[in-house]
Amino acid sequence: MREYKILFTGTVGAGKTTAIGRVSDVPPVMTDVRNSDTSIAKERTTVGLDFGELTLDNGDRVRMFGTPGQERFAFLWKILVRNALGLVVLIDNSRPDPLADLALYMSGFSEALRTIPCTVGVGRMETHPVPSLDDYAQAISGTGRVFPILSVDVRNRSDVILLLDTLLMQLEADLGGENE
Amino acid sequence: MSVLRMGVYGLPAAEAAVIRTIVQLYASDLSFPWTFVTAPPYDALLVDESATAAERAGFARMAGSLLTLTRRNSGGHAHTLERPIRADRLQQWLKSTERTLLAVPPVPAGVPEQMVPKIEVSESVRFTLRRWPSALLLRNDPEKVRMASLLVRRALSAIELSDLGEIPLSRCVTFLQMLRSAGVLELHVVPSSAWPHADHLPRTQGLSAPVRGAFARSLINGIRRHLGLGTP
Repeated sequence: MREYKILFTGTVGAGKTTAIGRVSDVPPVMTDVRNSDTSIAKERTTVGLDFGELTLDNGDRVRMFGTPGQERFAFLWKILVRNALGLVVLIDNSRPDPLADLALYMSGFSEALRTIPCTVGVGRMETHPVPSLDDYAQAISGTGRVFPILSVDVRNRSDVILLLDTLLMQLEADLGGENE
Repeated sequence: MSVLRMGVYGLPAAEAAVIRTIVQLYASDLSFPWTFVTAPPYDALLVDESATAAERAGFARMAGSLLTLTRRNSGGHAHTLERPIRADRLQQWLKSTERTLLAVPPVPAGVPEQMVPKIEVSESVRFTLRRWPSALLLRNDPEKVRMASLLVRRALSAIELSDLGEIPLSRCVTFLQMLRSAGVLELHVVPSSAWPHADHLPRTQGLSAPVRGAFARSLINGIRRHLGLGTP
């Protein structure tokens, strides 16, 4: 039996734990605690590692980790992302500066992003349509990279699956290149 | 050839059948990109005038373009189609929606349609994305999102794109044409002597270490099966 991992990162309240819960075979193990950060209007928040898992037909497991959202835990990101199959970045469009949030994760994971697939899911666009997905695409292309960027409602399983599908397609493309 | 999806909501069954028939008839022309669908995602949606404002707001999020079917002599407002349904007016709307969605400017007068650049299906012509395509172009359509995701990582020919995504070649070619028209597609022409070992082709990112090895494809297929995505 082999184990793999997919990492979910993003700001506090972006829905990492919810997204994992929508596709996990088991209820996600949560390490949420009461939020003591008064700058964040959220009663409970992830300060450790949340994870869910998929158990495949052959017994292999894919663990899905949610990173702590706050920047003060950035030191953990590099450790968690090591050997990950891919990275899902969740952005909350209702925050004051979501493009800056994205830049934070692009920078925090920049080394890993040279090799692993990444996809960006933007939430709460229905109530907060600006910045648009095209603004995100423009911001990412400005860094010389191209990643899938989708509007998501992480409460919808199909939206989370579509995000994961974009990671799998990138892995497929990698495989095609390796076979040449 | 169809790559754009048109649906209807709230129309009497007879009118829905008329719309479906018109779309199918036009689709015999290979340059007509529309197909009639009964479930989202929609690129264009024809809605009965009885739909509420709230329903319309919901549809506006689901579809690239919305048209309301109204009663005869209702004033001919914008974004409406009056009864009785006329094939030419429906086609006119689809054509205009197609141009918006594909971001294709109308061909200037005097320039033959065949002068518009076409996508070449060849191992020597490969494509990558310059940037992620616009939301209007993708409409969260899983098939388009899948094709775009493949083009993020590595320069692929239309044939490779079709093989890896398990998507009919004609739909891949149409999608590549859309991307090219939108200005987000990078072309790479490789001498035939260089492929399939085209090591100099751009790989937009490096290989992801965990998926190296013979087990990688079965891993990806296993995850896809588990998520109900089917296996390319």
